[in-house]
Amino acid sequence: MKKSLLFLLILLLPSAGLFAHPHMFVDMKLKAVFNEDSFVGVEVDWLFDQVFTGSVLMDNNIGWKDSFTDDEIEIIKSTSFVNLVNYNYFTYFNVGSRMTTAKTYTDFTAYMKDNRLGYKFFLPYEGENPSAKEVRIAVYDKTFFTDIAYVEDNPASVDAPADKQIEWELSENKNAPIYYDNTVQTVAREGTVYSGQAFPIELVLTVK
Amino acid sequence: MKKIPVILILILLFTMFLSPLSAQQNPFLSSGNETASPQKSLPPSAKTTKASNAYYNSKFMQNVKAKQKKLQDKISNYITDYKTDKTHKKLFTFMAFSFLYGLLHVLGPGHRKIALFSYFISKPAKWKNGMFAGFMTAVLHAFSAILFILTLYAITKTALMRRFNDITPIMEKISYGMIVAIGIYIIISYVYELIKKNAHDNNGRNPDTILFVIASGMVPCPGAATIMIFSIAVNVPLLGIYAVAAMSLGMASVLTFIPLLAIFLRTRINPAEKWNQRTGEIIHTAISCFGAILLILFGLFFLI
Repeated sequence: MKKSLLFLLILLLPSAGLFAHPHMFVDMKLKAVFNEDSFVGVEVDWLFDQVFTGSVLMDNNIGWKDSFTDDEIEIIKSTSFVNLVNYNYFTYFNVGSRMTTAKTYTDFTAYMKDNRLGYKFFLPYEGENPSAKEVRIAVYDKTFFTDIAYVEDNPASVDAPADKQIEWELSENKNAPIYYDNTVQTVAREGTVYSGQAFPIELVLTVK
Repeated sequence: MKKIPVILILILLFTMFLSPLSAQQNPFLSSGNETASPQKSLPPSAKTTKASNAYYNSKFMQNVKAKQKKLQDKISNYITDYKTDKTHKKLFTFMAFSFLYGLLHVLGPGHRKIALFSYFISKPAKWKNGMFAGFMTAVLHAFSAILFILTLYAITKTALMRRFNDITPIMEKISYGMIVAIGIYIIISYVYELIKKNAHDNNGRNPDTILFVIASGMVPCPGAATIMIFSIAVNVPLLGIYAVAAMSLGMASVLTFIPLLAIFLRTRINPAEKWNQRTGEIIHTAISCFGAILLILFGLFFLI
């Protein structure tokens, strides 16, 4: 009896704060881009689940197809992407221990693969110290609505001049918990506060 | 039945004056404020540490999340393939996946587990009535999504998800307003009865319980809503209804038992035979007010 009560309490207690548990799922690839001197930004590739895909197509009156016209891409962007500016495109940079968020995007495109909608876009790095030796990139939805996971095959890559040696790894940053919490790090979306804790899996790039 | 007007007045007051909220909006969808500046929040500092609340990061929850992803994938694949493969075996498997998806979905945070618990701490109730309230909350949560999406589809045909995204915050505002109002009503009624020394005769299905179930379940489940939209998008809305029905049973299989925990705890804390009548009444009122305060805090937490 005690065990079953404990189990119920475990289910119950954390539910006080965080409300928007994952409702959509994204498979992600990242490509970090460097020039001769510094970190330039990251190219993001998101492939959504079929349910979100169907909803976006339905919402925009676009049928199931293998590719989109420029007009359709523009419609998808305006209805189902640009709002992410309010969430910093879920992307956080830690460059030479200076932390900042993604603020703008370029080169957006939408595509279809295996009946799933995909987005590709570039997030330029506009923070300080772009020539730092260590670059950490974390991508997560702080409101927990979207589950973003790296693809298993080739989750990350680097685009850099041939003479620049850069190593990368994916690493869960145990020292940087994400708090969905109103006491430590407030996460609010239009008046609602979320709580909870998770650790970001970061793309860690080291310039040799 | 005289209680209903009082509750409705409280609901009106709270929903009129409390701030707007948006707990389950899809961050991808434009709601007219996409020209806003990016958030100034920074990523979490490496210096901040906190050992509490490992629940979300536990392997258990990671597995739940991964399983949800796979199940949602299987459900959407089945819906897509339905036109070419309509065997009963497939349909049964699909329903089973949908049931499991609902079950895992409700294991995550939210879905009014705290509200159900607080409510049934706040008042004496029979176990079967508690189970009924938990079950109906789950069913209403899922079926309101069906009703909502089909109504939207009948009216507009397109932009279902965006409209869902725009309207649900208003429903959530009403829902949390109702929950707060019910909490206040419970406190007022208990204090009044304590002063008047009236004996309670609650069976757990008073008008405020029905209102509470409506308040808890009226906001459509976004998970159910997106599956409904998807099934409409691939021209098999009936299959979406099947999936959501099975999901609701999955969610109910957890929510049905949450009130039981509260009823059990309440009974253990204040057994009728333990105290003299007056002491028993005071403890009864104290526990009830505690539950009601929890309920109010829960509602306010999302409202303010």
